[in-house]
Amino acid sequence: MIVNCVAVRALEWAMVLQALPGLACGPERADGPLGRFDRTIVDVSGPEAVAAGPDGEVVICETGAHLISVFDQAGRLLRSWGECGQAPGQLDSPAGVAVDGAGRIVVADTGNHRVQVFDRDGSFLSEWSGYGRDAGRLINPTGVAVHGGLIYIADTGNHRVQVFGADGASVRIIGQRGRENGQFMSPTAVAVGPDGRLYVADTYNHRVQVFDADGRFLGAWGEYGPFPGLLAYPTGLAWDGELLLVVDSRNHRIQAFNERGEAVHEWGSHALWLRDGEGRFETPTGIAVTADGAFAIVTEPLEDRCQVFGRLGDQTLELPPPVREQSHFGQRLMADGDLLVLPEPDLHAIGAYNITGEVPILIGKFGVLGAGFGQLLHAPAVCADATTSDVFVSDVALGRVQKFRLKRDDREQLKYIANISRFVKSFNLAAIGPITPTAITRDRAGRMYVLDAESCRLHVLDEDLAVVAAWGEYGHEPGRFRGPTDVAIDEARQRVYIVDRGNRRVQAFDPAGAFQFAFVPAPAAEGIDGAGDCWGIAVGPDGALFITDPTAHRIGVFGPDGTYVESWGGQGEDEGRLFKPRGITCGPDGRIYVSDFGNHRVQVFDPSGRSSAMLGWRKPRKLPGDADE
Amino acid sequence: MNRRPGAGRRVARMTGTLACLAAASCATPRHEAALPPAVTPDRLVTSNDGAFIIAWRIEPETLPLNEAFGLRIEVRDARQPGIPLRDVMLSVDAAMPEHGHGMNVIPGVMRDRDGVFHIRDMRFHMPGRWELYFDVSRGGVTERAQVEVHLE
Repeated sequence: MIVNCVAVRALEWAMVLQALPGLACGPERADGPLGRFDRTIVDVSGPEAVAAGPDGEVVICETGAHLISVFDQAGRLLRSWGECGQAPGQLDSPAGVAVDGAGRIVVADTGNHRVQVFDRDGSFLSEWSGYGRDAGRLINPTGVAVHGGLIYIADTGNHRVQVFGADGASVRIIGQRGRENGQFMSPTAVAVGPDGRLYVADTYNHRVQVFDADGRFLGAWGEYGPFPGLLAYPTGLAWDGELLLVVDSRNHRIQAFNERGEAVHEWGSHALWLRDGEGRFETPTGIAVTADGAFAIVTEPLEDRCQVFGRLGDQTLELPPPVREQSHFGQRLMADGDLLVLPEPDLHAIGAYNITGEVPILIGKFGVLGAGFGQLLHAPAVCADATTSDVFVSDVALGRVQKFRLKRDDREQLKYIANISRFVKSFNLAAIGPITPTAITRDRAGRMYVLDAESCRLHVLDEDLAVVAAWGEYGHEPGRFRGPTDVAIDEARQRVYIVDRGNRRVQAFDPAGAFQFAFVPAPAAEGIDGAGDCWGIAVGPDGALFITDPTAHRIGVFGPDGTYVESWGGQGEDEGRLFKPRGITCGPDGRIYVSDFGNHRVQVFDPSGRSSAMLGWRKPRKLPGDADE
Repeated sequence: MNRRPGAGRRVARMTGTLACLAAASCATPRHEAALPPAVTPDRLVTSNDGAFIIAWRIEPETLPLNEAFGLRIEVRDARQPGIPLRDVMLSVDAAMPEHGHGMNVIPGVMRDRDGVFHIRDMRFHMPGRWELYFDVSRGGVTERAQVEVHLE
């Protein structure tokens, strides 16, 4: 019913126009619209957001390095500050930034769930908020806008926008979790228009919503899809005169909308090759337009770079075809028995692979976009039971876990099976509480382990949705978490491991939730203050722990007690190398399957760490003159 | 309303899952004996995880092509199939998996005082293989029963 939804959106927008007459498109600039590739700013670590400062300066959140960096318009680094930590002035994965009229830099200190304000040289001025759901508190804040003495924050983990005064006092809360008008699903960007209205990138609802200065809903536009005017996970907003530029993240493009919500211009297309750029994007996130309007800067955290675009002048952009091949693997995957299951978020599908041979063989895909039973909106995590051929899929947008059963016959020759799955049942987690199932796994007794990164809590549920156990809350102490990312079970040792990424550690519990021990997943030589970044975890048949480190681009191998054994990988695109690995799982024969996320592939390693197979269509660029293999 | 050519044909061939499950249910005296006489003409299907038995029939008796039809449905506990459940919710939908679409209408659901669900405004707008879904919700868990319908 997409057509109907689009029609409804158009109607909503028409109502806005009736309410606010007299608006018209602004004059077109003589030097044309933005979109001409100019240059790339490289060597910025995971930049999620960018803001334009005075004098043509560009302020970039180097999210991966916990830094704020200021560049001049030519791309030269002028200054940077920050280090990972919780003290005032320190940062943890900052993912939003804005510059106020006085040149002060307001930062969404995402991992610390607070706002920090710096002067233009980086001297700490003030901070406020902290983790929580009450007014004045934040969970994973991202987008920032400053207007009229107020600071607007996309309070992503609370699914709302919060407005603060310059003193940090909460002035207003706009919206709540949901899919209705005025509600949000993980909003990540805010911008105040020249008309004083607030525009919000309602990311998981694939739309832009508009509010008046008092926070009243005025209208919305956007619907999931690839065509002009449709959106896929909008994550960044910036004004270019009277056009609103929207980072259409999973369509890998920038779209410009007029104040009527009509798409009037777009640029960018999906990268063809690994590290492809110069006008091609790989999941861009943030955007800013320089004060003089000459350039737009677009951040691409996955590629550790920003691209700068100038005005087109008389040039005409050749638009890419509206429907493009998209085939990204998700961040998580799960192997069990002869089965590997792997989300493909762009297709809202789950791929099922047979892993009895050397190379995983795709035997079927299932899933379709939608909110109905058996449909998927945003499904980041999967787990499987090869014995029953059941696949469990979490959906963070709908707060549920769904169970599918694969139709396959072990006696038949391997083949691709159309309509491989049948929807079996849905577990509506809202019946227990507001749970966002960011990671799931399952034990042999059929209990589901549902990790909620927003609430920093693990829920253990039986198949009747009864809570068997639950533990964890936000904090630093043992048994508490900050941004947990993954969970794995060692049934032989009766342990539940949770990757407590925000605290740079892995914690081990018994199945009832009693804390057992914690360790820093880094080589001992690097010490407690060393890298120790961690994201995914898998347990091998002998109890060995395999932990991905997306910062060092490697897999760490640890004993069941957390003792460091060895590590593999290292940054790169070649076989055996990794780029920002995320999820990891271990097959029954000890082979390790890694979501090599930044390389858009799944890489298979044997237990000794030798790369033995790869899944994925994206190849390194082969330049003219390169020898054939 | 204008009827499409061929819409007068009222031929529905129930095959696959429905035929198998109906046959299995009929061959199970435990279920059949427990059902009251009023629902014995109904077709029976067990939900995909085995928790429920759905007793259903089409109203009118045959499926029309591109015309509205209704369903009469009782939801029973698979462990006690003689007892209609009153603590469940039901939604009904249908799709053509090979075509990647569902119905063009949203059916209405009403439950009478006897706990029987009456579905109205169903419409299979084209011939082919349809899957009919019965989604039964209880306590935060929704379980699906489904049947295949070939409409010619």
